[in-house]
Amino acid sequence: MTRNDAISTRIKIMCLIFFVVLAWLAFHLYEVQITRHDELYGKARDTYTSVKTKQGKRGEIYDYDGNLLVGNIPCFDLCADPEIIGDEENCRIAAGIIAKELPELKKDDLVKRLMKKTRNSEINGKPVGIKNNYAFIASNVELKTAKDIEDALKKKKIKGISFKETTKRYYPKNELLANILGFTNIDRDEVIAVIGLEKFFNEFIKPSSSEIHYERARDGLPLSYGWQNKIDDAKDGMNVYLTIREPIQAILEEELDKLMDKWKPRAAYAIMADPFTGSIIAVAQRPTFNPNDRKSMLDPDAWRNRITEDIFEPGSIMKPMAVAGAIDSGIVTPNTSFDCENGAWFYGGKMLRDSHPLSLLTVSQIIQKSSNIGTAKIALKMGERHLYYTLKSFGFGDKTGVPLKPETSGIFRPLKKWDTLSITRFPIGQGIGVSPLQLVRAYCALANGGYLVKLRMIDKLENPDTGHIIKIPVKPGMKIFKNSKTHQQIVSMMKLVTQKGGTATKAAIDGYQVAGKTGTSQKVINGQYSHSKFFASFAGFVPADNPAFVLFVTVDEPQGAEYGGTISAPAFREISERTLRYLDIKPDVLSTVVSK
Amino acid sequence: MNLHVRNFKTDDMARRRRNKSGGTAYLLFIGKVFFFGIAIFGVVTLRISINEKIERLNRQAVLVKVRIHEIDREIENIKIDRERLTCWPHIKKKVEAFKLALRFPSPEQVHPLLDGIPGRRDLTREKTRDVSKR
Repeated sequence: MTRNDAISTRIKIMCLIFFVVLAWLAFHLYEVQITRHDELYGKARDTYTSVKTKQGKRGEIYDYDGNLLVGNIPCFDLCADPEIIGDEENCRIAAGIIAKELPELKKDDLVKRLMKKTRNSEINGKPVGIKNNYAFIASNVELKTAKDIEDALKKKKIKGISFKETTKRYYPKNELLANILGFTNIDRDEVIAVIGLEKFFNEFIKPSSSEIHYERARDGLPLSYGWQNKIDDAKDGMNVYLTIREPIQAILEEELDKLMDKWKPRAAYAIMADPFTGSIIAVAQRPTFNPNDRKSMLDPDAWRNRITEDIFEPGSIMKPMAVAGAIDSGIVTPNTSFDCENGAWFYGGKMLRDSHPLSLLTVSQIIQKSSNIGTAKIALKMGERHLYYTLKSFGFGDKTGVPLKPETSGIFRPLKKWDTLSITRFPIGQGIGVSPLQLVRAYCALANGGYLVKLRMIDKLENPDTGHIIKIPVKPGMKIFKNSKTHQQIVSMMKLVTQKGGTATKAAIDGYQVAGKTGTSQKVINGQYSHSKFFASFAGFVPADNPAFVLFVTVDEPQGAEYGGTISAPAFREISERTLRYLDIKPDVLSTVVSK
Repeated sequence: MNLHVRNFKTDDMARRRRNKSGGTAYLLFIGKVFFFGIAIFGVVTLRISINEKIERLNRQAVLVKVRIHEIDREIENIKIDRERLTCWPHIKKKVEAFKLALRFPSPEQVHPLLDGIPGRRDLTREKTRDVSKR
């Protein structure tokens, strides 16, 4: 072999090697670029792609004047990466800082959590220990506390504690209007509306969330020239404005608390409404709860919405409606007299009694003295059909349509199911079940001249993103009275109730004329009327001739007394007096005297 | 037999002339390449510098956005605090704690004040009659 041949052979070998290497590279390139493209591209994308979830804000609830009743308080969830935190010393320092700011957490327990560097898992059925990169520390930590913790950790140069932004549903007025507002629960990061307006308007006030996928730099910030993929748009929930006025609500609740302290009843509730628009200005019930304090919510009886769910026999509070029907159709006049049988009257095989023996009374006096016998005789004169349609026209047996669920329609038997006693018992509020809201609606009709207004609790809805407002209109009520004098006559009768000789002199307010009616009804226990358990109520409006509001107060099973005139009437006076001053309503009695 | 007589002097001059014009063209070509090179380099450098500025501003914008978001959350927190502090139960607690001798005026006290303003009565009535009208 010559030298040239040897060189030629070497060149050939080298070429072959190059060719083989090139072929291998080509094959590898094919595998990387084509065969494993999806797998490797996915891995690379995961490394430089971040996903950010943005959650809109749940809608807030305000009173009529824009005072916040339900809001979202910003806070943080704290969690840790035990791997990053490091050795025991660091864990102890971190735990010390956190436990100092959050006293409800125990330092030793925190150290244990932060020191747990591995967690047990199973691979192919075999138990193995894998790295632990997550330890939960605390949820809903307040902004300031979280900031203090963060600063302290930075000072000590401790890494591995992360602060996840979150919000907590917060009720800044605590118990105020709690039963109406309702509350929410959290189930796996999802807000669940449980009761009240929170539940009724959940579809409007719940926010939507969005997901943004983006290419990020090493520091986690999005690259300006990188791609971005946005899924949906995070939108805030709608804000709800109520017809409630917070200062009046506060008055109502304060006076209701006093009532509870004094008479120790099982429950009590009060509703105030504008008779001309049907707007509910204030509404409260006891017992109640603090939606910010879960311990106060252990008794579901406290969160039940009594004003819409409960029915009760209203008692004498029903009388003005029946009498108004009789006056309106001209069957009686305020001066028509009836014999009240000295307090006991046998009719339909049953005895009907008055609380005091009364003899001959005019219709006005029947209302003033609250005679059951007199009212029953007026009803008999009206006839079943007329009485039925009168009470029906005041809305009994129909739902009020307020935005609270469930709402009862009460118990009001259809005419064909009436028995002999029905005509004498229904007008005095026995054998009929009404909800407090139904009664308030009926009294609004008595106060506003005979229009059955639709009760409103929502004034408007507002879209916080666009500023668009949906106003809930005031609907004109159906006219009940055919005679224009009926309103003035029934109001005059109801004024007598709070004047000397009436059953509710304790509801009278200095400087104002008050129209109202007391009600004391026995509770039905095991199918029998109880002689020890009562509902004591008072419903009225003030100033009587040009009412600013209708107010209804009921006490369920008061201790030590039973009459509405003794228990509920003074509460009515206290609430009304303070509300009139707040609303700047001029005293009407005094002005009449001065103008004369 | 063809004989060709070459004039070496003329040939040399022509070659020189050719060389001279070729050198100029070459220089011109080099010049153009250099110029375009410089231009491309300048554009690319400018683009990189602009990109860098964009990126820097973008980062600043992101940081500002983060700060705005933090401030928004702080405002939200303060708003809630304000609502908590201005509600009547809280004020009442403070009134009791500081033993402030506050009391309501009697109707006699309010009457002369109100009566002196003509039309006030109607205004007040209207205001209270329809609390839902803003």
